[in-house]
This record gives sequence, structure tokens and C-alpha cells, in this order.
Amino acid sequence: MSKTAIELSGVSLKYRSEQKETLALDNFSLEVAAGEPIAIIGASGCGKTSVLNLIAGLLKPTSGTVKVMGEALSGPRSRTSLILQDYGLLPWKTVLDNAALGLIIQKMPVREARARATDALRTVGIEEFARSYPRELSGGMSQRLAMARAMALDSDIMLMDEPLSALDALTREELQKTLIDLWQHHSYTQVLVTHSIEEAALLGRRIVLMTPRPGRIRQVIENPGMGDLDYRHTTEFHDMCRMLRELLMNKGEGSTTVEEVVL
Amino acid sequence: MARFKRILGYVAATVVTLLFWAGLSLAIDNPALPMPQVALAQFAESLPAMIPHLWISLYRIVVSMVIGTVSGTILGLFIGRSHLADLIGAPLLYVLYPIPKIVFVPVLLVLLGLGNAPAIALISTVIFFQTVVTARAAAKSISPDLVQSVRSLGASRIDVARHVVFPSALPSIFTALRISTGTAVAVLFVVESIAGNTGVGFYIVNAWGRIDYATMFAGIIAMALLGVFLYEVINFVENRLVRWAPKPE
Ligand SMILES: Nc1ncnc2c1ncn2[C@@H]1O[C@H](COP(=O)(O)OP(=O)(O)O)[C@@H](O)[C@H]1O
Ligand SMILES: [Mg+2]
Repeated sequence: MSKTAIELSGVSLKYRSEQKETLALDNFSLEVAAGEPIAIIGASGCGKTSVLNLIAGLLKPTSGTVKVMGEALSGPRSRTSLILQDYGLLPWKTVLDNAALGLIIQKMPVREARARATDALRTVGIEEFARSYPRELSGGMSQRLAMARAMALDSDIMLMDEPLSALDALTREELQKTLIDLWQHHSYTQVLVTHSIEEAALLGRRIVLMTPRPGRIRQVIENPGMGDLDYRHTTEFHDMCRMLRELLMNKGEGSTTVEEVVL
Repeated sequence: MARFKRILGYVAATVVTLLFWAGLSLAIDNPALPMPQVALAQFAESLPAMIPHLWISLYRIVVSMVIGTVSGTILGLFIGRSHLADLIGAPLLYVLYPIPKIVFVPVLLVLLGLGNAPAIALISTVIFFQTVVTARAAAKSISPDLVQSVRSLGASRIDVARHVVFPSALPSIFTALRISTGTAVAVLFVVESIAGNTGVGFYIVNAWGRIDYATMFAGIIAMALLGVFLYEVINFVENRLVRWAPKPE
């Protein structure tokens, strides 16, 4: 039995603003084994980003516990990388310094940090842009840079928020390949949030279906065939996608909310 | 190429200004507005005598700009990022910012005497307010997502300030500085012309009092060059520090 990397038990999360309270997550429990890639799928607003922020240690649950590598979280953890939807790149730093940022924040000497960042840029295939600024990068390259930042940190947990949703079909496919390759080489634990059925089926060994308001786990689906890019051409993959689509379209037997999943 | 265009621009602007000046001088036909060649010849002649005044004026304005910008940036970014500080800071700024600081010249002259102090105090205050307001707005406009993703790397508040808040505000701070250069030179002139016997402002008003209009204009040219020089220095420093932003123009 492999180690548990991430463990959320009975987590609920409330956002309080001046006018109202939003119960974003309710009784959310999930375990992810070390080295396991999972995908979380659900309509926008169902609490996917909140789940990632909890695992990253940026939010504290209103109730319940979040453990990472067996320890209760008290804040961000250096080997967990969170890649947000807009990539989180700093426009005023070069590509190289963006990749080195995590190491610099950990007080690594600049020279060493840059050397490691250069390796990471090579890993994701954008080393020739090291001296450029993020505004000169395409969406796909920005995503690669965000991944390089995580690689430079030698992350063992990779949290990605809709990493491919803003990309065109061709770039998306290239990056899917990169994501699979990187995960296979580095075998980090990966939590990928998406609203794309294909992406979930391609990149999640388990697929977590969420229902919105409040976000709950509706179902967890095993997807053992996942693991290489060719999977997408198999009937197994197509069956998986069809099943996910049906589950998401069907307004959820036994559920009380009507506007549950809108895709 | 860009540099060549820039120099060409300055030359063209100077020619246009001189032509306009000459035309105006001919039209008005009054010794108070001498022809440009007269003023320029006098400028060349008076320059050695003006140098000490230029140094003093430059010293006053540069020191004030540094004091005003540094303190304004620190305070502005701080209240822009801290909820609590903004609660007190924001209304205070709204009350104080619109007050024309120049009206305090008499008070400052009484309190601080006739040396550098009143000029520096007043100009730094003007620049300080401009910068505080700008820096606060810049700090408030920082994307929370960007801060989140840097925080997820384990960044402390200091790290966020250094890697996110300060660099993101830098372009607007330079814009504020550039805008306040004109005001700073104007305030300098007012302070120097009212009190003391040093600085280009004093030089101009002194010549005016002697009805020596050519010398007065030599001083005016010196003051204008001081403004242009500061403006260029700010551009130079900005180009060094803010390489990442796409340049307008
Ligand atoms: N900072 C916040 N303050 C108040 N409500 C929030 C905040 N962030 C998210 N929410 C609410 O929580 C719910 C879940 O949001 P989120 O986790 O971003 O969902 P998703 O990523 O699936 O779109 C939404 O209804 C959203 O409006
Ligand atoms: Mg989201």
C-alpha cells in the first residue's frame, strides 16, 4: 500500500463577505496516494479552486482537517506547487527568474537558483526564452514556464487549476503530452482541476466528480487505463468520456439541487 | 535609431519654440520679452555666474525628489496593502492631497529660515503626496491571484512586497515622478524667488528687479533646462529599472 500524500477529511469551507456567507465546500473527504494523478471535474463555481487552495495551505478549512504527507497543514509547504489559471507569472521578471522564484524565496543563492531554473526550463522545452519576459510568451509557453517553476522546486505535489483551458486545441494536445511525460518521469502526486471531460479522462487515474453549492463529491471514478497519450485513441477512453458526460449531464439522481452541473 | 529619433525630436521642438518666441517677441515689441538670440547670447555670457545658483537649485530639487519619492512609495504601498492602515490613511489622504502645498511657503519660511530647508520641505511634500496617492492605487490594483501564487511558494509578506508589490508599482511611480517634475520646478521657483539669495529662482527675480530682461531670460532658460535635465534623468533611470513593460510611444 502506498503512502497517502493528501488527505482531506470532512472538510467544509465557508467564505464570508460583508453581505453573505457562501458554503463553498461541505463534508468534502478525499485521499490521494503518493504519486497518484487525480482529476477533479465539475461545473464552474462548484469549489474546485477552493479545494486546491486548501491543499496548498492558502486557505484554512472552516471545519475538518487537511493533511499533506501525513502532517496537518499550517500554511504553504515548499514542495507543493500550485499552478493557477492565469499561471501566476510575474511580468517584471524574466522567464528564467520566474522559474527561479520559488528557489529565491527559499533563500537559495541566486546563481544556484538560476542554474536549477535553467535545467527546469530545459525540461519543459523553453530554455531558449530564458531572457524573455512573460508577455513575449504564448499561452502554452506560459503554462510550461509555470510548470518549470514547480520542477525547479522539485515538487512532490503538483496542483493545477484548469491548466489547459485557455489554450488552442493543438497547443493543448502538446501540453497534455508534456504533462503525462513529466508526471511519469517525476512521479509526483498530481491534482488537476478541469471542466473538460477529455482532460479528466486523459490525466486522472481517478476522476472526482463534484456537485456545486455547496461543493460535494458526487462520485469517484477509477480510470486505470490512463497513463499515456495513446490512451485517447482507445475505446476504453471513449467509453470513459461517454460515461463522464452522462454522469455530468444527468442532473444527478438522488440529488436535490437543480442547477447542479451545467457544462 | 530610437535615440536618434529622440534627439531629432528635441531639436525640432527647440526650433519650433525659438520661432514662436521670436514671432511673439516681434509682435509684442516690448523689452520684457527680448528676441531669443539676445537671451541666448546673454545665457552664454551669464552661465559662469549662474553655475553656483544652478547647483543649489539642482541640489534642492534632487534631494526633495528622493525624499518625497522614497517616503511616498513606502507609505503608499503600505496603506494600499494593509486594510487597517488604509482605514486611517485613505480619508487622511483625501483631505490633505487637494490642498495646494504652496500656500505654506510663508509658514515654512518663518519656521525654517531662508536656506535650503524650506524649499526641500515644500518640494518633498508635493512629491510625497503625488507618490503616496499613486503608490496606494498601484498596490490596490495588484491581482490577488498573482499574490496567491507567490504566497503558495512560501513567500512571506516581505517577499511579496519585494517580488510583487514594489516592482508592479514601479511604472506608475515613475509616471507620478515625471508628472511632479514640472510642479517641483514651479514650487522651487516660487520659494527661491520669495526668500533668500540663492538659486536660479532668485537669479531670475533679481534680474527682473534690476529691469535686466536679457539676464532674466538667461535665468529662465537655465530653469527650463533644469526641468528638461531632470525629466531625462527620470527617463534614464526608468529605462534601467523597468525593462519589462512595453513602452508607450
Ligand atoms: N474569495 C471568495 N469570497 C467569496 N466567495 C468565494 C470566494 N472564492 C470563491 N467563492 C465562491 O465559492 C464558490 C466556489 O468557488 P471556486 O472554488 O472558485 O469554484 P471553481 O473553481 O469550481 O469555479 C463559488 O460559488 C464562488 O463564488
Ligand atoms: Mg476555479
